[in-house]
Parts: sequence; C-alpha cells; structure tokens
Amino acid sequence: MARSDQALTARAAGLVGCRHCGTVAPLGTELCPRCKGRLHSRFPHSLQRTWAWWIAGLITYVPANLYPMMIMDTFVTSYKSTIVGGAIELIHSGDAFVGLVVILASVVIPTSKFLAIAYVALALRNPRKVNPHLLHKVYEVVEFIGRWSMIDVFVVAILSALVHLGAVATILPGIAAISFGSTVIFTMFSALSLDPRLIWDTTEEAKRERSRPRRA
Amino acid sequence: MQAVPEKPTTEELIACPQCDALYRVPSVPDGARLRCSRCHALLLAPRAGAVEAIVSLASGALALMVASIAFPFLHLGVAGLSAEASVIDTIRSYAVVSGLMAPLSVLLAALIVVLPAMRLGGLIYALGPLVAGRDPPRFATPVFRLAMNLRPWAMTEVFMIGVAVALVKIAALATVSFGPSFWTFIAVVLLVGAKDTMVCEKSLWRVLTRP
Amino acid sequence: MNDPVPGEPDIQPGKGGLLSGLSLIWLVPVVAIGITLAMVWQAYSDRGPQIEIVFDNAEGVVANETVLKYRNVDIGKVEEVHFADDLRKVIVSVRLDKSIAQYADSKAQFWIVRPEVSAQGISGLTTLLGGVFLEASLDEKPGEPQMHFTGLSGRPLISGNEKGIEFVLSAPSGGTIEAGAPIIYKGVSVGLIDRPELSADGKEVTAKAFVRAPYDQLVTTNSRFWGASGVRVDLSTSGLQVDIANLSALIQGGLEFEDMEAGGGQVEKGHVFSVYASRDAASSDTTTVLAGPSVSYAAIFDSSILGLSIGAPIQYQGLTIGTVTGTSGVVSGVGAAAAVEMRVDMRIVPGRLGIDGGDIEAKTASLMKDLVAQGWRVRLAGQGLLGMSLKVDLVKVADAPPEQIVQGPDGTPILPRTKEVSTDLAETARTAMNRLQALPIERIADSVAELLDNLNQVVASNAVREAPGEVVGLVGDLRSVVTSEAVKGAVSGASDSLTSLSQILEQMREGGAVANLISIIDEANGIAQSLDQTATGLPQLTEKLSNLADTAASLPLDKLIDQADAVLASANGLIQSPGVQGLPEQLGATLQELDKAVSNVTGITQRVADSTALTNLLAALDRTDSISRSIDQTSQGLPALVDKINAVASEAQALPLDQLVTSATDLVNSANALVSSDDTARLPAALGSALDQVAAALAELREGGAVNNLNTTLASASSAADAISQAAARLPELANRLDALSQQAQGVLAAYDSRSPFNSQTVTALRDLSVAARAVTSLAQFIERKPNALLIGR
Repeated sequence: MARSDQALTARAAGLVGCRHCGTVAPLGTELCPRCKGRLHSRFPHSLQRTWAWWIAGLITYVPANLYPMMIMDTFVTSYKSTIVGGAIELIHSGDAFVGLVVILASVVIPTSKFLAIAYVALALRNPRKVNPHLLHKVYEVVEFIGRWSMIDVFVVAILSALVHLGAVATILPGIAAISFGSTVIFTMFSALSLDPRLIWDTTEEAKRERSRPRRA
Repeated sequence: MQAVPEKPTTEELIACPQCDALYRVPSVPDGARLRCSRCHALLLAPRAGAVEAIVSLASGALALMVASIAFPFLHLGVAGLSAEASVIDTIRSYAVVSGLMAPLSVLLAALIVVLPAMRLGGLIYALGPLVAGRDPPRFATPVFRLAMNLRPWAMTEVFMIGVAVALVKIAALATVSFGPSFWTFIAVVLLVGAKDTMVCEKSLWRVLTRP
Repeated sequence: MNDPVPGEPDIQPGKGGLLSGLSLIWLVPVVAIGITLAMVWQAYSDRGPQIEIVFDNAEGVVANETVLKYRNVDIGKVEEVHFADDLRKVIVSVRLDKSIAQYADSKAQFWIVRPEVSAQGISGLTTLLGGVFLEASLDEKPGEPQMHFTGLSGRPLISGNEKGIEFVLSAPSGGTIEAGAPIIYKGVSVGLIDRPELSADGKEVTAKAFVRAPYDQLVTTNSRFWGASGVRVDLSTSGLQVDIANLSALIQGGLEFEDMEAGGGQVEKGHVFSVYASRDAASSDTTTVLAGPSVSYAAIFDSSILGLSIGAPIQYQGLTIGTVTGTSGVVSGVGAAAAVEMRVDMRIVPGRLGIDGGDIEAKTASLMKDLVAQGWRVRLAGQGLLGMSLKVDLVKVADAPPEQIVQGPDGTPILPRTKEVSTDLAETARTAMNRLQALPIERIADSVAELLDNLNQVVASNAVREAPGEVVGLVGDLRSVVTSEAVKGAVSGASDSLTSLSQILEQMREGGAVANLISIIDEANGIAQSLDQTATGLPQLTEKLSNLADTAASLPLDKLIDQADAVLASANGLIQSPGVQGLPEQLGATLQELDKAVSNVTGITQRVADSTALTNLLAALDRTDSISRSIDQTSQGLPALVDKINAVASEAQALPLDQLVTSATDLVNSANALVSSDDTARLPAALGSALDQVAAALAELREGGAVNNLNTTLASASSAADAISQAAARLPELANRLDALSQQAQGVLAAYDSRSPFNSQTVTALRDLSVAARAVTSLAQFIERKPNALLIGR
C-alpha cells in the first residue's frame, strides 16, 4: 500500500515530466527537450479551468433538456421530443430495455459526468480523505466516456439526413442538439483541464499533514 | 533529499504522465510493457515494427475514409419512397435546417472527418519517412504532437455507434439497407482501432527523436 | 526512512514482434486504396451526363431529392436548381443515369409531375405524399445526346414517342376540338387530341391528334371524324341501347371516327382530316369519296324535278355512286305529244362501283348496259321521310319493259327511267330513324290529346248527342288507346316508342304493311266521310281524322300506329253498329287486314316489353337513385370528417400527444373509410372533384410541414380542416352538379364494358389512393401504438 501510494515524483526530484514523451527536464524548463511540447509540472489553474468548463457545460445542459432534440413531421402531426421525454416515453410504451439504454446514454452518462468531475475536483480540496486509486479510476472513466455522449448528436444528424420522405415523415434536428453538443464539448474540456497528477499529489500532502502532528 | 543517488541522466528517467512518479528506465525489450507501479498508467510499450504497422494502417484508413465520406452509407425505403444519406449529408443536416445550427455542422465535420483525417495524415507525415529509413521530416515534432493531442476529438468510432443506434431506431419503421460506404466506414474504424493499439506515444517519441 | 529513489517499473515479458515478417501489413493500405479507387472509379464511370432543363416554374423541385423518372423508374436526380441569367426561367440541373444518356436526344421531353385530376382520370397521386418528380418522355432510338432542354408545362398530351399515327384535325370552330379529349372508336378511347390552334388565316381550328398502336390501323384516308356528343341512343331490332361513347367524352367531348367507305389507304403522318358536327354529317358528306375520275351520264324524267338540286346524290342500292351535275329541259315529241321533259346530267364515279384500272369509261359503259338489260332503271326519289329534296336512284324494276342506253344529242349516254316514283319507306328507314330521334314525341302526344279534346267537345255537343252511341264508343276507345300503357310508355320513354318504331319499321319492310296501312287509312277516311254523311254534326271529327290520315301518311309512325289502332277500334264498333252494317264487303276484309296489322303491332309492343331494354333502363334509373343517395351520404359523412379534423386541431392545441395521435388516426381511418367505402367507390366523378379538395388540403398540410416552423404546424392543420370544411360545404353543390351526369353515367358505366379505360383508370386511381391511405393509416396506427416511435426507435 505504502509502496504503491508513495513514490518519488518528478516534481519532488526537481524535475518536470513531459506528458507526451515522458522525458524529464529540470523544473522551470519551458519546452520539452525531446518533443518541444510545453512543459508544466502541474497544469496552471487546473481546478479553476475545470470548474469554468464544468459550469459552462452545466449551463448549456439546461436548454439541452428543455428544448426538443428532434422534431418529427409526419403526414398527421408534428412531434417534438426532448432528451428525457423521449426516453421516458419509450419506457412507458413497453420498451424498457431500449429505454434504459437510451436513458443511460443520454441522461445518466452526461449527469454522472458532471457529478464525477465535481466529485474529483471537490475531493482534491480535502487530501486526507482521498483515496487516490478511486479518484484516478473515476477520472479515467470520465475521460474515456465523455466523448461517447456525442452519440445523441450524431443520431439526430443521421436521422435528419436520412428521413426526408416528403409529407410522410421528415425529421429535423431541434435546438437542443446544439446545446447538448456544447455540453459534451465543454465537459470534455473540463475533464481534460483536470490534471491527474493533482490526485496523486494529495498523497504527499496527506503524508505531510499526518507527519506534522507527529513531529509536534 | 532532493538529489537522486547515482544520479541518472535525464535520458534514463521517465515521469508518469498521470501521477508524475519518476522512473528510471532501462532499455526496454520490444513487446514489453512498462506500467507505473502506482497508478498503472502505461508508460512504455515498444513494439517491433510498430512504426511500419502504424503508417500502413493509417494510410489504409485514410484511403478508405475518402470513399466513406462521399458515398451513401444508409438507404431508407418505405411505401415506395426512398432516401439515402452519406456522411456529407449527415454533416450538412444541421446547417440545412437553420443558420443557427450551422456551428454544429462545423463541429460534426471536425469530429467525424477533419480531425480523424488530420490525425492519420499527421502520423503518416511524421512517421512515414522513418519507415523508408530516412530522417524525420522537418515539422515532424509539432505534427506528431498535434496528432497525439487530437486523439480524444477524433470520433469516428462514436459516429459508427451513432449509425447503429439510428439504424435500430428506424429499422422498425422502414426498410433500411447499407450503402457501400457503411462497410468502408466500419473498416476505417477497425483500422484506426488497430493502429491505436500500436501507438505507444512515448516509444514513438523516442524513435522519432533518435539521434 | 529512505530517500525516495527512482523506482523500477514492472517489466512484462515480450510476446515477440507482432509483425516480425515485414511487409504483410502493407497489404492493408494497398487493399484499402484499391477499394477506394474501385469505388471512385465505379462512381465516376457510372456517372452520367448532367443535363439542364429550363422551366418557367420549378415548384416543389428540391435539389438532391427530386428524381427524374421514365416509366416510373428513376433515371436521374436533380442536382441543382437555379435561375437563368435574366431570372425569367428556372434551370434544373439533372444528373442522368449513364445508361439513359444516349436517349436524351432532341426528341426527349421533360416535365414536372404534379397531382392532377381531369376528365381523363386522376394522375400523379403519389406526388401528394412523396413530393413532385420530373418525368421524361424518351423515344426508343438513341440519338445525339443533348445537354439543354426546355421543360414542358405539363404532361404532354402527345409525346411523339408512343407508337401510333399522328395526324391533324381541322374544324371550322374549336368547340368540337378540346385539348386532351379522347378519340373514340366504337366506344373505346384509342387516342387523344392535342391543344387546338387557330390556323394562320383564322378560318379554322386545327389540332394535332394521335391514335396509338395498334388502333392506328383503323385510321384510313376514308375515315371521318365527328364530334361525339357523349350520349347516343341507338335503336335496332335487338332493342334499345343507350350508349355513352366514353365517360370522359361525356364530360369534355371527344371525337369519334369510323371508316365511312371501304378501301381507304394507310394514313401518313400529318394527314389532315375534317371534323364533322355529327355522325350524319360525316356519313352524308360525299365530296371526298366521290373524288376521282368520273363518267358522265344523263337521264330524262317527265315528272317534276322540284327539289332535285345540283350535287344531289346518285344512289345505287343506297350507295352513293355519283352526283347530279346539272338539270335542263328537253323537247320531246311534236304536235299534241309535244312536251318538255327534264334532263338530269350526272357524273358517276366508277371507282364507287368497284371499277378501277384503265379504261374505266368502257368498263362502266359495259356494266351499265348489263344493268339496264337486267331491268335497272333510274328514278327520282325523295330524300328522307319528311324531306322535300330529291335524289336519283338506280333501282331494279321487276318485269320492266326492255330498254337500252341511248346516246343523247351531245353524246352523253342516257339511262332509261322508270315511272315508278315511290316513297319506299323501307329504303329510307335509316334516315327516318335519325329523324324520328329528333321528333318531339311529346308534342305529338299532345296533339293526340288535343284531338281527343276536340272529339270530346264534339261528343259533348248537342249535335253529337243525336249521333249513334257507337260514336261515343269510338271516342271512348280512342281515349283508352291514348291513355293506355303503350301510349303512356311512348310519351314517358321516348326510347321505348323508338324501339317499337324500329321494330314496326322492320315489320313494315318485311310485310309491306305500311302500304296496306295507308290504304286502310284511306279507306278509314272514306268511312269517316260516309259517317259524315250518315252521322251529321261530325265535320270536325272528320277533319281531324283526315288530318290524322295525312299525318300518318307523311310520317310520325308512332302517332300513326296509335291512331290507326284507335281508328280500328272505333271502326270495329262502327261495323257492329246497325248503321254501318250495310257497308261494303270490302271494308270487312280491310278491317281484317288492319286487325292483323294491329295484332302485329301489339306483338311487337309485347316483345319490346319483354325485351331487356326496359329492365336495363329501369335498373339504370334505380342505380341513379342510389348514386344520388350515395352522394348524399358522402356529403353527410364529410361534415363528420371535418368535425373530426377540427377536433384534432383543437385537441392538438390543448391535449397531450397520444390523444392527438389517436384522434389523428381516427381521422385517417375515417378518411380511409370514406375513400374506400362502396359509396365513394361508386362515385368516380364525384371523387375526382373531392380529390381536388383533398389535394388542396394536403398541399396545405405539406406546406405546413415544409415551412419547418414548429409553431405553424397546428395552424396548418387547422387550415387543412378549413379547406376540407370548404370542400364539404361545396359538396352539396357538387353533388347537384354531378347528379345529372351521374344519373346517365352510372347506368352506362354498368352497362358499359367494365374494362373501359376510364373505368380502369378510375379504379387504378382509387386503388392508388387506398394504398396510400392504407400506408398512412398503418403509419398512424404504428405511431399510435408506439408514440414517437420515430424518435426513440422501435
């Protein structure tokens, strides 16, 4: 446990590691000697940026749920569906499994993404209670899963490109699509702004805090 | 405290990109995988012939991408009416509706077509000459870095899943059949996926900057 | 605690090079490039030329969506719609299929297909749902491909690419020629007429016309075209036939044609035909058939030639073989025998007698000589039953004294005449029939009634009181005859009497009954005169009877028969009366003959009653009733439909979606039911107009959808309801207007070949509509079952 949690970090060794090529250079080096990428021991203002993108994403997520995502014009009627409404009606109509999948992709993933980023960002403020392994896992999942929320935007685009059947049925993208797309992009930026090294820095801080009373 | 005993040169050191842990890296045999012992992030996974494989897979994917974009990938038929959509139609679908949606079309074009193509092209540009045994080209470094940075934004495979979902949604309502580019698009996704498993960024940087 | 030192990373053993063998991996890009190149090459090589079609108006044409069809198969797609430089035209760029490109030559025509309801039927119904498309007309011969075309404003009536014969019709006025009207042969539509144009000199109206193969063989140089009025009443021994040439002819007219003379040649493209006002006019025009070489003959008559005009026909057994070319007087005899006889010059066309080849003069002379030797003579005959005009007949006179053709002073051969000037009814029966059709039968009946009134007055007068009771009986009999079923039938149904007449004529032709009848009537006249002597105070009656006899002799057989019947009855009564017992024996025999004639007539009447014509007619009338009822039902049904639509619209504004969908489904269901109900199916014409309204409503719906405005959808549904409401409001008027039409049409349609083009078109259109309606219904039902299924799948 101790071995895996505690390690000599590049920063502690007075070095800065390149996130691209892993090359280390003395602290304060601007550009990576190997790949010429910009070097940051830790992302500057990482948490601030994360929160900024997070809030932007949350704001755009509101209209994404209020406005129709997709408009279906048929011979008989015109029907608009929102993200949540569509999934709920699907469940009502008996297709529970598909409904749940849709809810998972369109509702649970985006919202849990918000929650997960917020959780990680908030947890970093209290290093003592942090389980870095858990946080890191959460961070990895968020980073991996973020882009898949884009599916909804793609589906609407495909359907509206495909379903042009005159008066019988036509599908049009609703205004929510652009909001939802923004949400996905913003949350992806939010996740990318979070420096994972901060998670592991907490172990050092925790150790420092633990050791302080002992010395005193 | 600050100094490292038997201070190794920086060449021999590697910092974990996820947790900043510092490692001294011996020469790594091809096919071996180095993982951070703290956060299990992959550090190095050099493979024999990786560069060659990456370049060939990338160029294959890029070639198929050309075909995938222009030709219709889904065909819809119901009650004697029919419609079909190509990737370009899909991208345009937002802009066609209203100018307000046009940015979304731009975004789609970037995520589905432009950025993936830039990634593939960048890899081929940077690594291609190495395969032929020549020096890396002049802008290999920034181009390769860009290609690597773009990875989260290339959503070809996400789009493919979107096609599958759309298919399920309208399959009950109309007859849907695949156009030729549906299959080439799947091939693109598979080739890109295969290529990505080959890519070990840090190893490639080492290859690229080998004196 | 140790100082942290750089750790040792985990090292996993290698699995060996994945691609130690070098170049297999390079197959991937090679294959990929191969596939891509193949696809691109195929697309490029399959890519046909882009053609430009210029339209005045490209309503409904959408780039990358609207297709170009030929025989209902896609052959291209609209790629671009833009304006011509001066904004006056719209240029539609179409990417043609490569396989079709070579046929897009100068003969190709293009037009935009929109829904259309016309007298020819309903077309373009699918565009209601799927949007408009372009249609092409191509010929079967590849030609020099063209890149620029001028689009037509609508489906061309004559495409020029169908097999058949194209010719020109010329009429003095445009009334008989109407764009799109059918050309009918024996009730079957075999072609159509293009838009009429005024000739350059403004004297006549011409129109291109087209008869499609294989019917083009029926059009010959001897064909005559005449305006089809739509309804034709035919009388023959087989009974009454009310014939509507073609339903669309009824609505918009049309031209019928027939070969009036045999031996017509093949018509070449562009041949000009005259259009006659009626079939009679067409059949009596001899100017064209009498063209050709002719031989001069003459005849000498001693009777008046008043009514014989130049151009009057020379007929041989009813076949016009020549015309009168001139009349003059010739002096014959001297002294007491001196007289001026009438010489009639004529030209006889040997071709009409089947003489052709060289030396027709000699051949004709030899034929005429033989005919004269067999007893053929010329004589003057009246033309028509009432007509005062004369014609020259070549008739065979039994046991005629032998005569020869002699040479006149000018060398013209003179044909021997016969003195017999006959009004042979049988000979003119056909013309008589035509005239009878025009006779005001009711007026005749009225005059009979007037006669009766007069008789009544006579009978009621004091003078008649003293007359024998038999005279009263006579009046009673007469009245009973006039009020009898037979006469009533004659008055109420013109056709019935015409049928009987036809059969009577047949009988007369067979038995010479008319001549007998006339003589009987003459005798009855005599009887009347003797009655005049014996029973004083009856001059008026005698006069009437006398008039009656005259009328009978001159024509209206219907009245004649009735009156004869009555006269017979009264005569019978008279004979049995003591006052008449002493009349000559001859009268008894005459009466027996008359009796026989009357029983013949009765038998004929009976046969008419038995024949199916009457029941057909009755059934047709019954159906007419039911049609009217269906129209009523339909118009009663529509308000309900409109109510439903209104309900839908109001629900849509207030209620949740699933209810809306349910009502919408109801609406579609009831629309479907309305469309597919038997009532409606029996109302093709009414449906046609109703479809117009529905189409308008649908167009509004479509526009509502096309605007893509989220907020106007409800408004457009409401306006659609309004449109249908207006349609419903107009329906009673429509029903009235169509009532008369459908009364005739329905019975005829039923009696008519059920496979006539209009019927099949109508049926096809109805089927199209019900298929479309079914599709929409199933869609609606689907949506009802699974709300917003399109949006969330399944």
